[in-house]
Amino acid sequence: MTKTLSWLFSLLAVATMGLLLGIFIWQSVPVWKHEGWSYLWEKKWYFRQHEFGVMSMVYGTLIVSIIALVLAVPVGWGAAVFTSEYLPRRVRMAVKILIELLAGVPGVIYGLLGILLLRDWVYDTFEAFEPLSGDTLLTAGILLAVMILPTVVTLSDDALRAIPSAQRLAARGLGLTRAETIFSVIIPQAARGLGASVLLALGRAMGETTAVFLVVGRQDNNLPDSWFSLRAWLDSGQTITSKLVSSETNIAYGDSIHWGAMVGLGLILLVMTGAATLVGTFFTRKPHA
Amino acid sequence: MDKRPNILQTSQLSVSVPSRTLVRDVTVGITENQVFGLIGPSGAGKSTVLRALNRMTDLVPGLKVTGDVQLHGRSIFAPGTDANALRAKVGMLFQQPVVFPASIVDNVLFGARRLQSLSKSVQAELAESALQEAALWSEVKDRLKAPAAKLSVGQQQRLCLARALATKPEVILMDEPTSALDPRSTEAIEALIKRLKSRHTIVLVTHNLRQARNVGDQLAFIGVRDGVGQLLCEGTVESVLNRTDVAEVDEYVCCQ
Repeated sequence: MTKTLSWLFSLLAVATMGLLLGIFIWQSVPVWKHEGWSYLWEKKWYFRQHEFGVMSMVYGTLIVSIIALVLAVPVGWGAAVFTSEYLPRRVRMAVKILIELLAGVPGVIYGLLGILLLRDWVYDTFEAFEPLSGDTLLTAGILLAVMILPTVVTLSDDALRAIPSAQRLAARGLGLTRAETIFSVIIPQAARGLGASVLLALGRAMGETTAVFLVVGRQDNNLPDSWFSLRAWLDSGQTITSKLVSSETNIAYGDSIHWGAMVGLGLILLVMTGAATLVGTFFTRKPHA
Repeated sequence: MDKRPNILQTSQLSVSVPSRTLVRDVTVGITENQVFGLIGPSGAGKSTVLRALNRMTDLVPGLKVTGDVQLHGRSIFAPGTDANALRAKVGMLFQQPVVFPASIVDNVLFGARRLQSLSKSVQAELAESALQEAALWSEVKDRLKAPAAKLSVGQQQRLCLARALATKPEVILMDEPTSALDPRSTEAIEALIKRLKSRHTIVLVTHNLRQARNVGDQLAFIGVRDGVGQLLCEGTVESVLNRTDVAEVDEYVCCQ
């Protein structure tokens, strides 16, 4: 009975996921027919001319997520090593609860804080590079870094804590210092979990909507000549999420090709976050366990 | 009576947690190149005393150690003492073998490599001599690069011993090193202990009177009196085990 039911519910979960993907593919068919594969490669998006290319939004999503990871991962790993290896157990629990509370703060709150604190700071700090405003990819990336930090910290802390304390004792018994123990015994063994925390955080970063929407500038078609241009980080941009949450989505509904283009963006985002999460979850599993 | 100097000397060693004293006023002298056994009922504080000897007690938050332990006449609690260097000199073997998820040879060299940078050839020599000393060499010499976790539990315990030996310790603390092992592996470890004492001093916590008789030179009995662990008697193995005037010893010996 239990077995049958658990199979049934597992199946239901898979079916729901499949259905979701199916609907997104089906709804985006008009744009694929209209644009073909160039929907993915094309740089320009002018819906009045029925030109739909997602590249600048994929770029925006990737860049803000990468900025967020570059900032959040070192800090997050460092904080996790501190909470897991240096804090007494009780303080560690308190800190963890606090961090998890931070993870629960709604994105819009972070967005407001971003407007309040971050926008002007970015504008003033990088004045030498003459940004047009404080609403930039960099601003969104920094804000996202703060938002995904709790995810990185708490997952990394779990990964480090999962290493049995006998390992620590054995290393200390050999005369290793605490720092040596952390670097040569604990971190190598927790490496997969630490990696997973990055991928799961990446999934969150790519999917985060409201906060990014409020500070990214929402400038269409802002794709630099080089993907590696750092100056471009100080321009306004558009991410997949900030595009989808804008009023253009409502306008699009009446036009099947336009609507298909919007849903197609959703599909691309779904694939990107799904891949990060899947690889991340796969990472957490030990290879021979 | 043995006239060799004591390599380790505890005086009035007490260990307590905030709520109570675990073990009180242990004063024993441990002579060089002998096997010093610590016996007594569970929970009396044998392991705690053992861990105080290389300051592993520092690693447990809330544990407070008073009194003194001297290694070669020098207090190990003196300010400026490097507790990590101390632990390399006073090595430790635990109840359960704890191997690191690395190759056999990497496990052996784990502690030694941190102490000083060693050339490849010195590393190979050191690994071989440590494995020889732990009587594991002949069993693993063809698969030094194999993962240590593939070894049997008994082999893993000897690997842990080799790992401790590779840091060239003067004293090896053993906390019931055979309690997780089958009889044959136990026998191997006991034979090793007898051999090792020619070059090392061994402090052995054991539950097993047969083992104490087999390998021990001196024995200390730590029992619980008035709710606190304390040293109730010490001396040669037979003199301790035949004490009938100490009720706790009498009871402990006859109940095994």
